[in-house]
Amino acid sequence: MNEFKRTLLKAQLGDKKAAEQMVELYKGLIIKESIVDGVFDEDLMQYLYQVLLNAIRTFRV
Amino acid sequence: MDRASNRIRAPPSSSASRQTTKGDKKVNTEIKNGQASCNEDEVHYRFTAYVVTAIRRSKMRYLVKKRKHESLLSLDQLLEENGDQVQLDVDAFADGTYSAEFQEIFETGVLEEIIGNDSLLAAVLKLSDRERKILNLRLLQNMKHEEIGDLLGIKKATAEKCYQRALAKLRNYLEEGLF
Repeated sequence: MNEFKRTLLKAQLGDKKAAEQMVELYKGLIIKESIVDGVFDEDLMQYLYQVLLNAIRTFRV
Repeated sequence: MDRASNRIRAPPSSSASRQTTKGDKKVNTEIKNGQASCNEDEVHYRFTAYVVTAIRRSKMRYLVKKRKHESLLSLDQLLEENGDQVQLDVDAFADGTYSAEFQEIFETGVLEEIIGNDSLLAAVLKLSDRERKILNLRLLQNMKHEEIGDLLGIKKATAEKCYQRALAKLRNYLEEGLF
């Protein structure tokens, strides 16, 4: 099992450190998507972090 | 986590499949490892695609909701600002003696007169007469659905449904106008 899959499974099982690693991995994408018309929207960023954590929980490996 | 290990790697090269013709055990093992690696990478690919889609869709939903919130002038707020211009003699109504003012409200569209917002006015004008009357009575006069039902000769539930439908229609008309 590769590192990514292991981290994802650990995050799904509630390992906070693994979840942090996953969040860190997609942080750039979230920040990029939080910019609307050249303006950074912090509320949107928080919302997208929630979406990411939800995606980690619901993804079927 | 090591960032390099997280990077999405290219799928195993096609050279592995070319080597199968040699029939060497070692090569077969490499191929198997390659397939395993491919399967594991697939999880990474699939998860990334899943996250990207979820994030983009959620962003769209968030932006639509935010724009609606910013652009739609609340009907309640509008009526709070202008609604006290018209007073209804509810007691007279209860006694069966409608005031002249009430008759005017009921017959003519007072709601339309006090609406300053053009798009909202256009939306109100698209409503049916009965819906406009119900909005007038409910929002300007703060009448109960039961009273409106009695006045119009319909059931309380019908009046309530008609009122909710009228508000929903207004929202739809305004949204259509905005997007």
